[in-house]
Amino acid sequence: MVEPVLALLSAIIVVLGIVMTVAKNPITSAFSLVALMLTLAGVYAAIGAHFVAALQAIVYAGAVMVLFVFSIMLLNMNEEKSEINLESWRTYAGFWSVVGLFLGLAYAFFQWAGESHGPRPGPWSISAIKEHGGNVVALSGVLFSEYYIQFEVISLLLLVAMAGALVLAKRKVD
Amino acid sequence: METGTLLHLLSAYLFCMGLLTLLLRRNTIVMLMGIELMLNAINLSFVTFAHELQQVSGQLQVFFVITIAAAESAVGLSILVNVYRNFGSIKTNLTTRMRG
Amino acid sequence: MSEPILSSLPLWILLLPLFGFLLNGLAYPLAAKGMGRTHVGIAGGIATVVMFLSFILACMGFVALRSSNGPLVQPLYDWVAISDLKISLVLHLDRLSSLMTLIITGIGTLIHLYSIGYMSHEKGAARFFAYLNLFCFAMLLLVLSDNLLFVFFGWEGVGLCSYLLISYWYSEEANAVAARKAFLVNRVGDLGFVLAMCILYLNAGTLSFSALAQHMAPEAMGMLGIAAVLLFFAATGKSAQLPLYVWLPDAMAGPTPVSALIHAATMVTAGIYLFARMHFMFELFPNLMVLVAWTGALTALFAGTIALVQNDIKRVLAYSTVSQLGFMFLALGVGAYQTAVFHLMTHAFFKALLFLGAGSVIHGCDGEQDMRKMGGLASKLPLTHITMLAGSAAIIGLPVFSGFFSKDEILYEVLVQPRGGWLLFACGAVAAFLTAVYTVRLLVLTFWGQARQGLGGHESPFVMTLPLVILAVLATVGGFLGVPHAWTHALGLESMHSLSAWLSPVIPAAAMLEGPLSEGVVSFLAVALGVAGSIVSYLTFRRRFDLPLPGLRRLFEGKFFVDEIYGALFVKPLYRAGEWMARVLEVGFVQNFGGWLGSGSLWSGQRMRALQNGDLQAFALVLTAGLVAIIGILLVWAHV
Repeated sequence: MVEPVLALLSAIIVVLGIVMTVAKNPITSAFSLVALMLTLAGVYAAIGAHFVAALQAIVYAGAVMVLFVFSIMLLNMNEEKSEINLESWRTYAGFWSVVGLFLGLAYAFFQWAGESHGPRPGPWSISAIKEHGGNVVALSGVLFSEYYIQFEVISLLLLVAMAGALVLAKRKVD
Repeated sequence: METGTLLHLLSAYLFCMGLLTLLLRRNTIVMLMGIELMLNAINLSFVTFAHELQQVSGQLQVFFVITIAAAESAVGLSILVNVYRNFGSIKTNLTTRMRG
Repeated sequence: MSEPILSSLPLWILLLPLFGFLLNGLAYPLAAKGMGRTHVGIAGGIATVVMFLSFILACMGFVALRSSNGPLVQPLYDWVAISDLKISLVLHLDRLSSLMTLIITGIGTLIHLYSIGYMSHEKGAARFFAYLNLFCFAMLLLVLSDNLLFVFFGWEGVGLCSYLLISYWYSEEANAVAARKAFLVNRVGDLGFVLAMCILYLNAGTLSFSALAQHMAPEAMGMLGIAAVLLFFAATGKSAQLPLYVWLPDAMAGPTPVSALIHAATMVTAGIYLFARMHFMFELFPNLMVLVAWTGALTALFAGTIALVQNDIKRVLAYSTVSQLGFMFLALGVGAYQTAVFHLMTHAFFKALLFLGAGSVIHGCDGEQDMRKMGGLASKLPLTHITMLAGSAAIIGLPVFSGFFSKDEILYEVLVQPRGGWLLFACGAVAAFLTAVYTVRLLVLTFWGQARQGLGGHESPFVMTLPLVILAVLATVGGFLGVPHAWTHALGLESMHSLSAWLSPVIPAAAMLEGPLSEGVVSFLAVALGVAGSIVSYLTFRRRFDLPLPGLRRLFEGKFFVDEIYGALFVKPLYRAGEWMARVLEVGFVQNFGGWLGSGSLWSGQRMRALQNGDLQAFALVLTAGLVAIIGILLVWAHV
């Protein structure tokens, strides 16, 4: 059975997703996305992924979305008429393609739920994580042993991205 | 319905909404948001699988994905700022200088 | 059967003419800086020497085969090897092949030698000798390979060389037309060959003769019957029988040595050879054999009558060849394969001799071929005259000359074999009578009587008369290879039919049967007919050129109007179809096709350009739609 809080959060996410997609004003889209991400952080917390929930809230909702909103302000966008052209066949083709994709994915997930799962459940049950000292301790243990090379590579990537963003956004010195 | 199934469906829904945004909106910033939404859908999927299979690797993948998404949006937005400077617009149907 | 013996002899017999072809066709013209500068003596010398070496090797093969009756084989390589389909080029020299090889290389050598004299006024004769050598190579491949497919290669190769040599003087339109006719008529027969090969392969899974002989399963009789008919059809094409004989008389447009080698001694006998090779298959179909016998008999009769009224010396001989080939098919049809091969051999001697003699006459008369303008040449070309007499005696079948033995044997077998009979015998006898008539007519008009137009008249050089003499000797004594059993029996000696003894391991002898007439009586009858024909002919044509029976003459001169019938039945409709295609298809379709290609490309390009519009979202849309389509297909796949 689904906990009521998860069902509620899911409903909110569905609504926010529609708002983000169809809103005329980019600011509306951006803020509904922020709200969506915070709600998603709630979902993560509700199923015990506390570290991911914190990351979601801090990095996505905090840093990334602030960047988005800031860019929108910087580019000085006004409200405009709806961008979605309801007269173009491409709109309908896109919509029905996406519906088909969703049906395919849903089918796959139901299949998955119906099967006995191929990879057996691993050692990290919720109780095991609790015994280990909590989600963050468990994750960091794995991250800095099994995944430390990937961790270092990712830090390099961030460095490069930062340099790239600086070079791109810098005004040319005349 | 199981928790896992609900969250999987939710992730599929988010992916599709992100794709729809990417396909239908002409505003590049909103398209970027659509991409972020799709990444979030993937994250949700990862976390749900990790939850179902009692693994922590899935959550660690989310860690990496979020880092890459942050880097991607930083670079993407700075490109957008440049595009806006050059074209005065960030609508895909108006920025056509490199079109064949 | 005896064990095959590995030997490289067949390979060298085969390769030497090819080597000569390469020398004359490639190396020598390159060295001489142009085909036109090649010298007839050098080119002919090369060609003759390679043929002579090949002949010596063929003799060695003959000697090797005397001591054992196993074939000499040389597997060369597997040409095709795809699981079940295995086609190997294996050279295979057994006693039949050996006989054919001796004829081809031996007579080939003499004719090459003769050609040096005959073509002496020719510029760029290396081309001629290269073709001749290539022909010999193809013909040897035909008789040496043990696989129908490679026989077919040789079959086509000799057809090609025949085409090239008929049109050797290609600047004359008539020659080119004659060559084309020969080529096309042969193609009609070759179609039968190809289809027969397909059927045989489907039924037996192999094309090699020895394996085919073991696969003559009675349950596949229906298909095999079709294959046999098709193969016989192919043989009629190559060996100029009814209904496909029409190309051979026209083929006389080529140089005379070509007529002697290709259109008398060797290529036209390929059909006989093939038939003798595949006798185990034809044997299964008695009705077909009766058809073969009748085809041969009628051809012999038919061509003999036409030969009566021809005035071109070579055309007389051409129709005579068709007639003699008819005799061979008659023998094959009644099941006397050895006799057919015997006549093939003696015919190769005397007909090559007659053609070369005719060539000598033509050479002496500076290219004149019309017998009505000749006459009284006996004193001017004495050697040619004497050798021609020997050849004529052989073809008429006067005693002790070679034709006597082989033709008598055919007539006798026709009478005694169960598929023969009085009717076929009568056809053969009349044809033999006609043979004497037209041969003596040729002699009368050409050599005897008064010189009519004071035509040239110089004896040919030594290189031309030497082959004549050798062939005359062969035509005279060659028949003693097949002395009738009745003779030796009557004299109380052991059988002296050495050809029969030689061929028996390969081709079974016809059964010895008692007929209504003994062999001696048949011989006597045949000789009497020959002599009677000669006398009648001499008396008739001493004073006139043409047949004294105007009705028949017109029919014969029109060649029974076969060419006209074929023209109306096949050639005209084809021309019509061609014209229709030129008018409708060519103008309406082919000429516009290029334009359609261009405008179609432009049109589709303009439409397709919309796909490459550089719009990121359009690409993403196509990507998504494609993904959904793939998911849908996979789902349907998984559930159906």
